[in-house]
Amino acid sequence: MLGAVLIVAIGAALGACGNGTDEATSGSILVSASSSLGTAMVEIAEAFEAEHEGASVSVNIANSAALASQIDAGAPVDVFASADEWNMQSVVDGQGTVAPPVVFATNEPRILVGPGNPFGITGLDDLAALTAADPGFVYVAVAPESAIGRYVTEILERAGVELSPRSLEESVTAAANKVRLGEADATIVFTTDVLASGDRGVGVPIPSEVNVIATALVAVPEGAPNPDGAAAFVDFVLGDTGRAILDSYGFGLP
Amino acid sequence: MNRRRPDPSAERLPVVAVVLAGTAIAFFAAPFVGLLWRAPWGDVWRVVSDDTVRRALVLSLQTSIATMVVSAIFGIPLAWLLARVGFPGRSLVRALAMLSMVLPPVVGGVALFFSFGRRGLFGQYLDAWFGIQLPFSTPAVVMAQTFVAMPFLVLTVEAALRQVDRRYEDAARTLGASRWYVFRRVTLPSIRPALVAGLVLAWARALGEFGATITFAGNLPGTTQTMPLATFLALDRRPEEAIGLSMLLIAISFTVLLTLRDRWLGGSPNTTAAGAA
Repeated sequence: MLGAVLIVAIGAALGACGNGTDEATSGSILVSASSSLGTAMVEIAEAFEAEHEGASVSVNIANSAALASQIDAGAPVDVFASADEWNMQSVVDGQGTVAPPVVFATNEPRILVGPGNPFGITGLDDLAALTAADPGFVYVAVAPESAIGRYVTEILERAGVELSPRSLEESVTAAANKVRLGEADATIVFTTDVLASGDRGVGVPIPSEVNVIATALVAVPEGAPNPDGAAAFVDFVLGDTGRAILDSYGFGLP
Repeated sequence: MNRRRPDPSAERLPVVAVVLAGTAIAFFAAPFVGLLWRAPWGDVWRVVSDDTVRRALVLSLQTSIATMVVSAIFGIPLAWLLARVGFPGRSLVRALAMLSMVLPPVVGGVALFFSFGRRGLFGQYLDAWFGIQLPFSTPAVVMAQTFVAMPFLVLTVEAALRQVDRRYEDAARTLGASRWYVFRRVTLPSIRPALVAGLVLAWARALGEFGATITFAGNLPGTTQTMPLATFLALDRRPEEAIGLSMLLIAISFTVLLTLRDRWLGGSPNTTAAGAA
């Protein structure tokens, strides 16, 4: 919802600018990035602006599905960075992209628990046992429609485990915050969210046989107002600076 | 005696005012027209009788009505206190009671979260002493809704209580009525239009509450997923469901507002206490 408002405001501002781009990397670039990519993408945007005089990058952060809907509804997005392949695919099928999407990072789902891991959780089976047996144990999930939600559904299927969440949070950040603040005891989010918790959370890995590695893709949607700037930004993300920033947040690199 | 009084409905507004008012009407109507245009009319029954939609509807109605009742039980005495009793710090108390009405609801949710959550200032004792965990439960939904909705009732009732003609109450007291009797049979009826308006406002505000609910109570179908939450989450993958939920909410609210129209207006302008008869 906030993303939609942001789109309209930025769209109005972009419409009012209408500057010709003789210098490809000047002008405004609007990047739509999924929640789990958000903070890293903002840092990449700032690095891009530092290296390219006159460029102004705005990062619109929301969950992947909302971003894909916005693009399909005609939002003036220059770059779409999606935390999952399904929503990127729906943009490819819908609005279309200038070039095929490129995998620029990977992110591994991981269990997030409170500091010190008070329940001594070692894996999915422990989680299942606790949610079933202990009514005081609070497991929250992210809404199944989200990127992480779909990955978790697949992981649980592979592991043959059932978890009943107390709440379906609207984003990875919301779910992670509940655990970090002590409101919930466990959730499954991305490794990057676990790292972002600092000392307010501890990660428990999920065995690689059942885990699903999330691939983050980047593409320029058809109809992007600033395709040259967008292409320059995508190159920057795939280049050394971009990769170094992504690595510092805990993303895997292809 | 038949005095010719100007009929209010025959008054002519300046053209400018009419145009502005017309724009306002268009502004209010346009979003609904847009929604109706996109509504899946062929599928309406299937969408509306979907399990998630039904559970959200039932939960919304239950919690909003509970909120209305709780707001009345605690709000009417508060309104009376603010209207009739002068005590030091009254303006402060009034500002406090109205604060959540002015704040963005999500702020209210965050505040509730940090005070009544499991690790909250008060919540931690609730958990340690009584084993009560409020978040992710239906009572938490009512709490979140009451926090944002009760000020509407307090505001409306306080304003009405200030305007009540106290002579009727005093007359009743001198005739030997108890204070409870006076409240029940004289005061409340004389503020009935405002009281009903306040109840409806509180109920409607509770029905539409989103930010505080999702932050404090969480979101789980059947327990805490009210219609606004369900609508928001359905918007991404299942827009027809979101539209169906939206239309349900609109239909319910519109019906309630229409049937209470006469109560709102409370009869012609020159009836006050007489209007209660």
